[in-house]
Amino acid sequence: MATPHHAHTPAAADASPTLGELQAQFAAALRGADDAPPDTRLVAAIRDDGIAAAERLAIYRRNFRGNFLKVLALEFPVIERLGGAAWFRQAGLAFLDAHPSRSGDLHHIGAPFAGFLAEHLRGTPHEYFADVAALEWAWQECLVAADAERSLDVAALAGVEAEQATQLRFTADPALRLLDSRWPVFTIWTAQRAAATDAAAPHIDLDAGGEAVLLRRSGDGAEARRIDAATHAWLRALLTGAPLGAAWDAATALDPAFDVARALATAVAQGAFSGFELR
Amino acid sequence: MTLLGAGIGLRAPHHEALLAGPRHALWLEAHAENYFARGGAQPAILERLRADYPLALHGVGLGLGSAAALDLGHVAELRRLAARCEPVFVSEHLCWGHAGGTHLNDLLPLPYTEEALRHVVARVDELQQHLGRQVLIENLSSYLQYSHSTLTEWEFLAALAAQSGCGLLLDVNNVFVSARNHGFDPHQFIAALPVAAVREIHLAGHEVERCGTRELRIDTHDRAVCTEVWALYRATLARFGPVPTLIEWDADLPALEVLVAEAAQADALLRAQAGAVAA
Repeated sequence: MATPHHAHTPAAADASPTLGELQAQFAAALRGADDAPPDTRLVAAIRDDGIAAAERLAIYRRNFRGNFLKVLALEFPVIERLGGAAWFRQAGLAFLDAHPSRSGDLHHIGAPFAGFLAEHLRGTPHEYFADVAALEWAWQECLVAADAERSLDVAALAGVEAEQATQLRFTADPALRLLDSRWPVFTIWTAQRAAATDAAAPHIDLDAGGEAVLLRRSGDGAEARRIDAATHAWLRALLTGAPLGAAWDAATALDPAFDVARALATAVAQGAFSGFELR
Repeated sequence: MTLLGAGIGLRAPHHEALLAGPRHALWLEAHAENYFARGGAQPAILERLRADYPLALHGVGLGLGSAAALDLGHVAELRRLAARCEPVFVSEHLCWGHAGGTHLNDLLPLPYTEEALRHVVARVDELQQHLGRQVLIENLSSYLQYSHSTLTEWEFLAALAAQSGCGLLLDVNNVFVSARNHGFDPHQFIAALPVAAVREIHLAGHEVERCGTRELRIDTHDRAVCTEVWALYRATLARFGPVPTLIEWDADLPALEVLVAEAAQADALLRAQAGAVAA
């Protein structure tokens, strides 16, 4: 029977790695380059038993990478479609190398992916992937964000005096996300999601102009919609704590005809805000 | 005693079928990290399901044996979730998972040394204090052994239960997989565990992989429980009595009915065992 029941001499115990040393060496072996042999101290600490230590570690390497790539693909299905499975795997492994998981909960790994793609694809025809990834991550955040603790008191809002309205400040719904891009990201994202998995998505002109997107909780899921640049500037200002008057100014700077009453009614109807205050 | 019987691992693709379909005579076990979200559909679904089914929480991300500090943020999330859904069991694994700030997000094997035992006993104790309840610790499938281990896995588990007061989640498939991979007698493993400590059993399917001239069994959870594991399960019930048993299936997930049927097989054995105990 191959159980490790041999007497330990003090000398042998001294040669054994501590728990911390062993785990640091093991982690390095999982994270190292494909052609990097595992640390000789780690190899010595693993029983050969007919299968070499490197081969045994390779199983754990495969799981480590596979678990990470599987979650990344679930979080960024449109990026995987845009780049193709082979590219996505390669980019995912480079991402794993640069931004390994910092949590026991793998769901968090996608947070730095858009920034990573921006850095690595800058100046290439695929630079827009970064903004599509930002949209996909915003979607993920929207799905898991906290439920609002209270809902907006619409009657109280309607009762605010007109001359005080510019001083209104709103609390955003925790699930609300905004983003804007110099590429038509919403059109790209929508087309890829709508296309059957085995069919190519329609060609989209990348020079068709930028798009802004609002994401919000909708029923059990999330909903994304394209918004115009003025509405984006208005909401962005409100979400960063500006009063309605300053947000209105930010919007009219982009669109002099910006209809703040209509924008406010739409935002309230969409559940963008969970509260307001006057100060 | 009230018999909890057999249950199934709760997986997102089965949410709809469980919510909409007939109420099955089952209990459910959720991977805790899948329901850490602060809002949205996932925690809401768990709330709805727990109205109809006894629920257990199974943590996969704490890496209790990691030499690095216990992630108290992760523990706090687990505590929050446990407080909300009042699980019948809270379990984790005898493994490590992070080093140097990097999480490997896998269940990695520990050396079975006195140093590791002291460490894991202290960690389990810490976790039980934070949660204010007993946790169950599960044995792994492993693909390597350390040459400096001075205890067997079953001696380690028995000592852990005795010294920390934790319960044991005995994964019979993992016992079988590790026994084949490392050449020990699975019945010796089963016979060494204290009867009162084993509070839950897991069953799952695994894969056989060729590794040169040797074969290695990989814990894939992607198929039905094999004949040999059912036989070992019968021997397990003969020793421990009708311990609540869970069918786990993660990859290549079949329709809910397939899991329900497999759970029914386990349930029949549990009830036969309960009858034998009563008689």
